[in-house]
Amino acid sequence: MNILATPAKCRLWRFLVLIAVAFFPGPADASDPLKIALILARTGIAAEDNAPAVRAAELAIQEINEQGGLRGHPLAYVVIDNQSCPIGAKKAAEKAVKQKVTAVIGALWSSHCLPMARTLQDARIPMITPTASNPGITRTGDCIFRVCFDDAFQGRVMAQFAYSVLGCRRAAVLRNSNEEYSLTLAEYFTLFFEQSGGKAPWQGNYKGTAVDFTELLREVKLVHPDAFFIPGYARDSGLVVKQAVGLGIRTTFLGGDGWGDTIFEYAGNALEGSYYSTHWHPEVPFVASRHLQKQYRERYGINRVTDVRIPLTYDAVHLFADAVRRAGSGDRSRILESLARTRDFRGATGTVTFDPNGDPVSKEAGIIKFERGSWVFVKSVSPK
Amino acid sequence: MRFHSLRFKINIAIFTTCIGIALLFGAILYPFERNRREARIDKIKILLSAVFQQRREELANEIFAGQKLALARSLQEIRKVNGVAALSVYGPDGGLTLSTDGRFSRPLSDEEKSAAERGPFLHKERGRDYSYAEYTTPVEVIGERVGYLKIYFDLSEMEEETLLTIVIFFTLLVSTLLIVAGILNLLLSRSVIRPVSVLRDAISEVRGGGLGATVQLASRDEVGEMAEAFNEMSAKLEEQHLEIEKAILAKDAYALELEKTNRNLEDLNTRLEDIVGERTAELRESNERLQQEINERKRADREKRNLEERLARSQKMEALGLLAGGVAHDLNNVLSGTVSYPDLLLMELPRDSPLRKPILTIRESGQKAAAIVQDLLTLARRGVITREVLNLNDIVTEYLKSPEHEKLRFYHGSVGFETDLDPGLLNVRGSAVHLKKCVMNLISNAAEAQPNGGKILVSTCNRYVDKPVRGYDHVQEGDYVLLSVRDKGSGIASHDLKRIFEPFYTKKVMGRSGTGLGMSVVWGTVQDHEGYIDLESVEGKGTTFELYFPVTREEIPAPERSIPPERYMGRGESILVVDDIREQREIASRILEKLGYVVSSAASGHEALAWLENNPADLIVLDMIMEPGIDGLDAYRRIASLHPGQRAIIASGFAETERVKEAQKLGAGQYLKKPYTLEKLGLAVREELDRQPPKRPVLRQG
Repeated sequence: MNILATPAKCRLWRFLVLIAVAFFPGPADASDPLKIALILARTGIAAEDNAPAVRAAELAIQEINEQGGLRGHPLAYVVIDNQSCPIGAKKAAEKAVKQKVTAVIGALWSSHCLPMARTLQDARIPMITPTASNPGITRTGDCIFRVCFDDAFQGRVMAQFAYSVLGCRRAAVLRNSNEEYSLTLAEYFTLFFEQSGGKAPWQGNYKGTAVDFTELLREVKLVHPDAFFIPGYARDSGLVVKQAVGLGIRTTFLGGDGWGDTIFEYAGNALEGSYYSTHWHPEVPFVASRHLQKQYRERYGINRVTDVRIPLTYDAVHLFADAVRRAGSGDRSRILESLARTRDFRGATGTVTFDPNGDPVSKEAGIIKFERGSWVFVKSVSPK
Repeated sequence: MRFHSLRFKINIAIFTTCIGIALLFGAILYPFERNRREARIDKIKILLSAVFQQRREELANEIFAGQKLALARSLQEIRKVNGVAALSVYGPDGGLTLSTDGRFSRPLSDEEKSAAERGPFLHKERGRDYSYAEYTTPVEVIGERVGYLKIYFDLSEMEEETLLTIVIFFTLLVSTLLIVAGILNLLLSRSVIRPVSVLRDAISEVRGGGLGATVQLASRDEVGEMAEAFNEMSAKLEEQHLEIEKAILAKDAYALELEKTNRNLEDLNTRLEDIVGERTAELRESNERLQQEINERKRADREKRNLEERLARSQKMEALGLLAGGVAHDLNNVLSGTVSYPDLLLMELPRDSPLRKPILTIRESGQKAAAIVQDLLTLARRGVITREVLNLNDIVTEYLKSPEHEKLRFYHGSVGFETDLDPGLLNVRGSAVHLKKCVMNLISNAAEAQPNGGKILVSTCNRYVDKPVRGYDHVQEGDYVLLSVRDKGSGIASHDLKRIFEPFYTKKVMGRSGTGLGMSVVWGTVQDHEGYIDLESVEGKGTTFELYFPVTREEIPAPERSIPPERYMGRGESILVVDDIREQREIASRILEKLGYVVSSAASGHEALAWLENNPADLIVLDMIMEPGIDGLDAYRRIASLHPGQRAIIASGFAETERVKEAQKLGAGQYLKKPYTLEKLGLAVREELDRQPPKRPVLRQG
């Protein structure tokens, strides 16, 4: 458990927070803590993927509390497991509602966010997802926000990159049928790729828990695609790439932000020459990003933060804190208003200004290439 | 196999036993099979439950998140489990979410839903060509009910197994039973049925007359004993039978005789019947013949009576005509004075004499009387009839303009007259006077038939009769001119029809219409013209007279003009007038003297001969009919022998007859019809005298 690995200072804070919650329920008192829920997968298939986000959130909360909390209220949090499934996510959201949290940070996967968003919107609890890029999530209602770009943009970026920069014309697309993220991204990619003039002669799908893709890949091989778009998460996409190369499929593998650098653990050097889109890169020049790297180095002894979930979760918590500060109150409706009015919030992954949907405008997408055993930043693409 | 045979009964017993055994076996097998099936179903339920549990979470999430693509894939994977035929997923409301088979797309029923609430259940569903176990379970995860799943497990394999078991069982059972039945049959047949059959056959033989028949059976059982007893009985029976037979034989001979007699009698009877039948048929035939003859005779009778009637009618008419003719002859002679003297008187009288007119009237009356006499003569059919060519249209037209018709119109003012005359009407040969009379009589008759007014249609037309018409008269075939007079009067009663042409037969009041001879004249005229009458009358509706006259193709001659007396004046020739009637003699003499002849006269043929012996005559006017004494022909014959080639003209009040013609053959000249007129006589005498050359030289000249 990552929580067990936190330093003593952190543990003390948590204790204090719990004490405070026990004695003063509700944020009525100035010294009452504002409680947020961190909903993500602690068990199940997404647990490993989601794990880094917990520390990032804790770091942010810690920083906020170190700076004296929010308008005098310390920031408390609970981590609720969504069990890596939509029903679990819904249950988790219900649990958060029951606990009367001021806001929810999470979840990380779109398929988890969608049922959560509905429950929280009904309870009018603000929800900020760090990484879920499915466009439908924020469209659930005015309480739902995200700090990353969406799949429509990401799909366009990868499609146009594949067509114009890589010169690909025939793309195979393989989707994870259990993930809204994967399905939607594949849809946008195909749309824009075909709009550009390319062709997507083969589309396949697999189950999120799948481990053997040989059958599908044999079909792909017959199609001879010059691009193979696999918008899954690190585990499944990694296995696909590895098995594809093993079957002798020679093509350019393309992925979305679901890949992350953890895909290397599954695919290894089979990834050579592959590209994926991402929200952030360790080398980005943003102040907050450098601050984050420094904090991780100092606090956790981690030299280099590469996982994109970390800065995004970190940004989500800070963005919430910013909104509370601007709202000047722990009142949820005030916070919601304030959140919607977020302008030029400077985070580790860039500047966030919400559009009416609760999506950040003008967040750039970065394209990363795996080259000679390491990840290389290729270019960034602005929505404009 | 007969229903009452031993074999049949034994077989029935065996069959019943076998059925019983089969039922027993079936009853034992059924619960076994049932248990086996139930165990099988339980196993299926466990299997399906396990399959579901394995994927429960996944399915639940996919259903919950509406990931149909993933759901379909999950279902396909479950379908790979052996025996699973199809899967259907339903939402929490029971509506279908997804199904692997379109056949199972109906929504979950409320009963199924409420049953599933209590937990998964298995339900068997059987159709004509399918058999499924339906495993229905709610899909629930983390306390969240997201829907229902139904797994269709194909039971056809199990059904086939069951079927196979049953088939094998029954095949075995049936074959076993057949074998058992066969063996039983064989055994029973050998020990019971066959001996019994032999015994039965022997009994049948005895019954059929084969007394003394015996049975040879080796068996010592009950059947064997029966056979022995039978043999004894058979022998005894034979003995008795022989005795009886002898007695019967004697009786039989008698019976045979009796039967023969009987048969003969029967034959006789039959023959008699045949004969009677034949006779009856003959009788019937002759009866029919007789009836036919009677009918024929009746018909002939009728015909004869008809003919006789017509003949009688004709004879009656003839007789009446003769009577009328006799009267007429005398009248004619009497009339000569009235007709001939006026001519002479007129010649003597100066042109301005006041006596001229009365004399003319006298002459006219005489002429009219002569016409009546002519009528009568016509009736006698001895009338001297003129045969000039004429047209009936002219006759009709002339009549309609005549004073007679005017008079008729005057009397019958309310009767309308119409004519329909065929302009192309052919000519006939006949007497204008008679025909006109005919027309007049018919019209007058028609007018009188309509005392209360009406209409009369007079029409003429040509008619070709191509086959005889059987009407009032029998009209023979030929070309005819038809004169038809039609009225709408009272008609003529059928019993009157036969007599209307008789003279003086009338229904009308005598007086106005005159003579009572009208219709007789019509009849006579038609007869004289060789024509026919047809007559149709319906009482109360009217009458139509149709007169048929044979046509002639000759043209009507140009009208004669009156010849001036200078042309036929005598030049002093001597003429002897021979006539038995004084008035006639005198008239003829006066006329001839007036014309400038020297006339002598003789009252009979003898007198004439006597006169001629001493006196020559240039010409003799010889009356044909003289009484008593010799007539004109005889007289001329004798004259001719005295003076061969003696010129003579023959005169007669009657028509030209055979005797006239004979006289002419002997040398006599023209025939002159009485009464005499100046012109007629003058011309005839002059022509005869001027005829060149004379047949013989006149002796007197010499």
